[in-house]
Amino acid sequence: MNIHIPVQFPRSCKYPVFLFFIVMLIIASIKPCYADNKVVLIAAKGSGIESISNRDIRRVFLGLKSADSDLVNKPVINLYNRELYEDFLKNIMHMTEGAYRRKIVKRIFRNGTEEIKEVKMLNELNTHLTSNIGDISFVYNDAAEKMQDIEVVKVLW
Amino acid sequence: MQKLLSVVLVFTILFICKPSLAEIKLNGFGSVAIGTVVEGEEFLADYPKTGIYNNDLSLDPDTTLGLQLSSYFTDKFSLIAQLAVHGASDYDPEIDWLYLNYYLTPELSVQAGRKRLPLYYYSDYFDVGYAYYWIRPPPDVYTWQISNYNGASLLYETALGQWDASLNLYYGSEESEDNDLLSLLFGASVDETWKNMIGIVGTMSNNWLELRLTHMQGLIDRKISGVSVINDIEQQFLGVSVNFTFDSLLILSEFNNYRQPENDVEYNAYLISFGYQIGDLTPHITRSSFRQEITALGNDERHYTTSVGLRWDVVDNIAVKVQYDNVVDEGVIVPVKGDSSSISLAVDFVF
Repeated sequence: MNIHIPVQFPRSCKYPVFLFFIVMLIIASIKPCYADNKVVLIAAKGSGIESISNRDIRRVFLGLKSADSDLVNKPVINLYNRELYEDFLKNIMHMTEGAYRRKIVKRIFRNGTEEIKEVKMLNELNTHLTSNIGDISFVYNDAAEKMQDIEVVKVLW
Repeated sequence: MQKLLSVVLVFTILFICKPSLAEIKLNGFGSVAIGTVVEGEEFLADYPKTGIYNNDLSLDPDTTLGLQLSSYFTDKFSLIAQLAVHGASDYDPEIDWLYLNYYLTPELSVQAGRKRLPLYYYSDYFDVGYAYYWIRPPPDVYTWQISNYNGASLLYETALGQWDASLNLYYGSEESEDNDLLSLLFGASVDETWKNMIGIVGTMSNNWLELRLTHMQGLIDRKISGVSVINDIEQQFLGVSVNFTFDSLLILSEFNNYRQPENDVEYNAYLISFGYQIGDLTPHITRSSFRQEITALGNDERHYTTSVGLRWDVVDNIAVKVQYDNVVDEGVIVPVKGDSSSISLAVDFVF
């Protein structure tokens, strides 16, 4: 079967192709702004945590042990940004703050599960993660970039 | 004797494991509650500990303070101990939990020692008022005379697709001398032993639905004023809980059936409750019931309660609650405390 490509095709597509590249350049230029709003799961550099499912992240933040990786240690709740915390509960834990808090209290007094650590300052989170290899937390991507010896394990949303 | 053996076992292992190396965490909980009966004479608010309100204002029936110590020898091996004082028990310290926990895999753990008997949905944290919206779980349903056991359990917790699932198998026994509840009901000193208890608890939950199924069977020995009246009688317990969370709306339910087939004893108990979260406030309404089938012996314990209340989450770890309970006692041969209306106020906290 012969496919006939009109000779004038490249010429007629010149303008749309040019426009396409311009649009792509614009998108590429605004991408860093979008990235700043990403929320990422972080751990200390060298933790070795390579993959963890959102399902497993939920398990860990409920006080259960990770089923995906032996390298995941304990969760740390990041309270430096209230909106981020509430979004994390909504998008990953699928529950309200009150429901989450009661669930953790039940686990503590039912299973002897350790209380989940909470931090209110980014530098405090940074220090905790680097001195507790394998502990995980969540931050905005731009905050993660400013932290020392911290790596992004996964983009959460 | 079994309690003593549990203590000896735990402390022996503690000694071997050099507790000085262990990481120790302390958590606490408390409920300070005050209430009174405004209509009628008495209200049995806490069956197992026989916390009873009368026409005077009283702090004792629902007030509880507890400490939980979790000692982690390694990330897989820990000791959990819970000590509590209850106003209904004259503030004498009681060990509700004392067990060793070991993770065989991230999803499978084994426990040995003294634990709460997981018959009911709220059994495990019955004393932790902060964990639920009532001042106390509905008494019609929580009518257990034995609330702990000494033995071993196996807990499996996993994820099945979008569901969290758990399976708990346990085996154990408990002796209760001069049992509070039975001694109150029989008007004499009652020693109760539940032995060879074997039970299973399964749970499944997702974002909006939680299901719990429990079954236990075992043998009972009972002595009234030192005279054996029940010996090696079989008992069976079956319970189902279905809880819904539709955004701000909470629907909680629990249905239980208890039998002693050889003695022709059977009762059914249920609760159904609706709560609605409005910011930090959760108003709720509950209906609960206990109904014993009339036997040749004439047992006819029957009562139901309608409760309305409000929980206010003041700060992250403190909740203030107010609750009104109306009890209708239909028992003729075995009345519990008669009809009553009561009001109570509580402050629950965890730390």
